[in-house]
Amino acid sequence: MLLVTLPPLDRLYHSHGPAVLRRARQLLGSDSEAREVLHDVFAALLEKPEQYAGKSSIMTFLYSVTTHHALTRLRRERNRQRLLKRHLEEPGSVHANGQARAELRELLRELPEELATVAVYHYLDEMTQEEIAELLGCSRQWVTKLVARLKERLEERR
Amino acid sequence: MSQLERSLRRRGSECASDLQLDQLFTGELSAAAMRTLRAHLASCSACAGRYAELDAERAGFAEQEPGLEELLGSPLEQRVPRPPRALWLGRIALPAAAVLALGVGWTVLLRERSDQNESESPVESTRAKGAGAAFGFVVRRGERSFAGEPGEVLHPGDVLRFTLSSALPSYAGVWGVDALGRVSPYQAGAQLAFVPAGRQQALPEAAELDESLGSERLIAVVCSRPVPASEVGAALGADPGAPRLPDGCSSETLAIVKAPR
Repeated sequence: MLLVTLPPLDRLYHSHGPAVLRRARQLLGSDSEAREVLHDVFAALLEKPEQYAGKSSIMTFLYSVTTHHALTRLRRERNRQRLLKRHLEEPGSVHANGQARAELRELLRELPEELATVAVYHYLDEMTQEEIAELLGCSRQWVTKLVARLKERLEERR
Repeated sequence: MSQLERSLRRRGSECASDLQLDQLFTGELSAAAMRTLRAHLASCSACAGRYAELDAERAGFAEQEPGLEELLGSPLEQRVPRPPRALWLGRIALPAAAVLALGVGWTVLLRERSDQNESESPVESTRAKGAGAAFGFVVRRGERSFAGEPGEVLHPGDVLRFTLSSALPSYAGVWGVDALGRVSPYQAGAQLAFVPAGRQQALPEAAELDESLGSERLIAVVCSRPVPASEVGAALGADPGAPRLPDGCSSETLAIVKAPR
């Protein structure tokens, strides 16, 4: 069976909002920026709920949408500088492996969008290649190629 | 493996991703996947720890984060247009309207239909023991809508909307059990849906039947209190014939047949 509608948005917010906020925080390293993404994701759903086509689970869909919103925000140069500055000034605002995540954010800015998205799913979410394939709507073999290409890019940075 | 990769990755390849754990919380995993993951959590301290972290984060979200209306800066009613009342069920192809953000639209429309068709015999199953609630469903097929009956022959693409008639407010969800005993939910919410008291109150989500064919049992679980959908799903998955449901819950069953068009 396939779910064709979203549950009421207020219920969705309570059930899925924590995951949206967490992944935005992981990507952006900032509580305030993450809350803006939380706002953007749910405001967009309110205005245009048909963006959820029922082809995947709601959580999978929201992971994908949140990644897109956060990457878009991360790629804005001014915003990137602000985030990096905040990271340096407020070390308590990032996770224990915050240095690596800050480096990942730098990398995400440089990578083509498809590779950046795979980097998020692979390194940050530690998803299996099957899960990444489902999120991207492509084959697992293609994900394997993208991950290999991603690792090459990482090696080049060393 | 690069330094960055070593720094970022923290779990073994056999461990659950956050996505899987999140789906466990929201009841979006199949019964089989849920069983597998719960078994893994029982034996893997890393994943159990991560599960506990996410659980605490969810509790923190409910306590610390603003409500949706506050987040969006205005009441939801002012932001989402309601569909025309005359188009009962006619909007199901438009999730924007079907969602209605507040979950009231379907109920309003269903009440309207109920009022218009008092002389019609509503299609409901027998009452669940002790629950005082009766379960039914409405089928949307193309442009046509009709009340489903026990044993109803349905087709891929049919859209089902479940209803509950109860003298008391309750919490409900519906699961399907196919001929092989596989259990799958008809809703995505983490909790059973709140259903107000009244006749033929619509549950908030609709579901479209996929291409799978054969007989299926629809099991409606009705509870007197909020219950995680995952708990009910796990109980049904363990024994769909005689599930050990959480306290305050009861179930009733309707059979349907999914056949080609």
